[in-house]
Amino acid sequence: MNPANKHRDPDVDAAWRAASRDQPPPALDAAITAAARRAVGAGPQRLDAPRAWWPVAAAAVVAVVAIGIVEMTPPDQIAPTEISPAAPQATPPAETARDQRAAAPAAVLQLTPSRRIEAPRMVERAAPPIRADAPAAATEATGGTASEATRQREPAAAREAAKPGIPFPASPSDASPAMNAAAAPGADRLTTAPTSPKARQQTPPSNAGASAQQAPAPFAEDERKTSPAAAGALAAHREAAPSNPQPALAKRAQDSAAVSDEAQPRTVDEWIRLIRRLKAEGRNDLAAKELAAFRTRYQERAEALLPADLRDAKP
Amino acid sequence: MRERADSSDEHLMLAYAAGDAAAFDTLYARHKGGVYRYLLRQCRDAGIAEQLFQDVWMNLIRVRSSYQPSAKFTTWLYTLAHNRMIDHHRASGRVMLVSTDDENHADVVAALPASRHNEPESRASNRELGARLKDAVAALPAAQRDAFLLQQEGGLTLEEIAALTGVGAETVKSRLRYATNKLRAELADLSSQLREDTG
Repeated sequence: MNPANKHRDPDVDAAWRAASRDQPPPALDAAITAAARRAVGAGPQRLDAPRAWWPVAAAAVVAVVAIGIVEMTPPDQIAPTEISPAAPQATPPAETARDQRAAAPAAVLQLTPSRRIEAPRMVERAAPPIRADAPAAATEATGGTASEATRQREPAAAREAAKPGIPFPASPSDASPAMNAAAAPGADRLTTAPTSPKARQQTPPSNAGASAQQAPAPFAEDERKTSPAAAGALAAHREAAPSNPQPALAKRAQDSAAVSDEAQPRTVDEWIRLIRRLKAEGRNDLAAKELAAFRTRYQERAEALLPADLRDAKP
Repeated sequence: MRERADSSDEHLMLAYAAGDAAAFDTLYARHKGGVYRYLLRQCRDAGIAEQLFQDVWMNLIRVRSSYQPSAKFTTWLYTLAHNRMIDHHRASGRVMLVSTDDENHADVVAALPASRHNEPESRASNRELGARLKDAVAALPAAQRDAFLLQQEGGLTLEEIAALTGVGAETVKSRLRYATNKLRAELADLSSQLREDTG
């Protein structure tokens, strides 16, 4: 027997081993081993799996809640700033500064119903027709009282604006057919029935906020059908009454149009063709503005890019 | 895995101090029962024993980097447990583990709980044996009980117990002898009771 163990009694040892078998509770084991893992930077083994799916589950919950909130939010609470960026995407670039100015009422029109209409696509679908006939309406209005001859020329101008040379929304549902078809009636309505119920309904009142609150619910559907006419009316209204107290919205619309223009720049050739066409049609003001815009964009390269007949023309 | 199971306590402790969490699991599985029983037999309260048990292991985790492989792991571990027990007794106002010269306490056996031989309902069984043995250990003087438990649960040698408790090896030997004699007497008493019951 080992001298160190000679005082030990095998019977006592065996009896003690049989009697004393207590173990710490499993919960205590888990707590201690988890603490040991944390201390050395390793997560508790049993908690590894839950931690792995935790961020994914959290993200999913957040997404579901966000979608739910959006679905349940009353249309009144949809901020126009969230929708207005969508409009320029569906809006073709403005040809001229005048187009931009004419587009301002259109944007006002987009913004105003967007407070009531919950579906953003309504805004996108409403936008192209407004942009298409806005130049025509603006041109019409520029001359003060619209003449019959000018009115007859408007559909052609609107169709011209929809030619492939000038970019338009790719989506057929968004754009040209309805837009072109609606452009002429809209122009007619501008002069012959400027106070038609629908046009009146869509004419932005002096207070856009009040308009948003007072407009009837079916406005959205009506607006989709009659937005070209309304846009024309609005463009004319805008030209005739430059003191329209909606500078903020108009400015925003102009900015949107400018952004759209930047986003879809026309080529040099297209631009030159446009300027030549405007000059040929006798629209020298527009041609000069386009020329100025061309020079602004291309800076010192502009003179080199311009053909000789346009190079000498001064804005 | 088998390599880890065959590793020494010291190697595992060094591995854990270096960041190997799995080494701790092996160490803990090896020693959790002994440490728990050591504390439970000393304080005789499961709740307190669990608290002390957790404190011991948390302390080990906290000071893991200070472990020196020159020291035997079990000696180090039971030193932590022993010190925690002393702290607990001091905090609770109980005077425990006083250094006594056990040879001068001849009445130790007399102080142990009486045999249950005379209890009419008493039936010898393994459960009875275990309970009697636990009672006998609980009734030992604190220093003897401490030495006995360190030997039985921790597997420490006389020298290790002496170093851990801060007394001489002969003192430890004496304590263990007294404790063993008492427990043997208790077992003999129980055995005779068993013989009477079966005869």
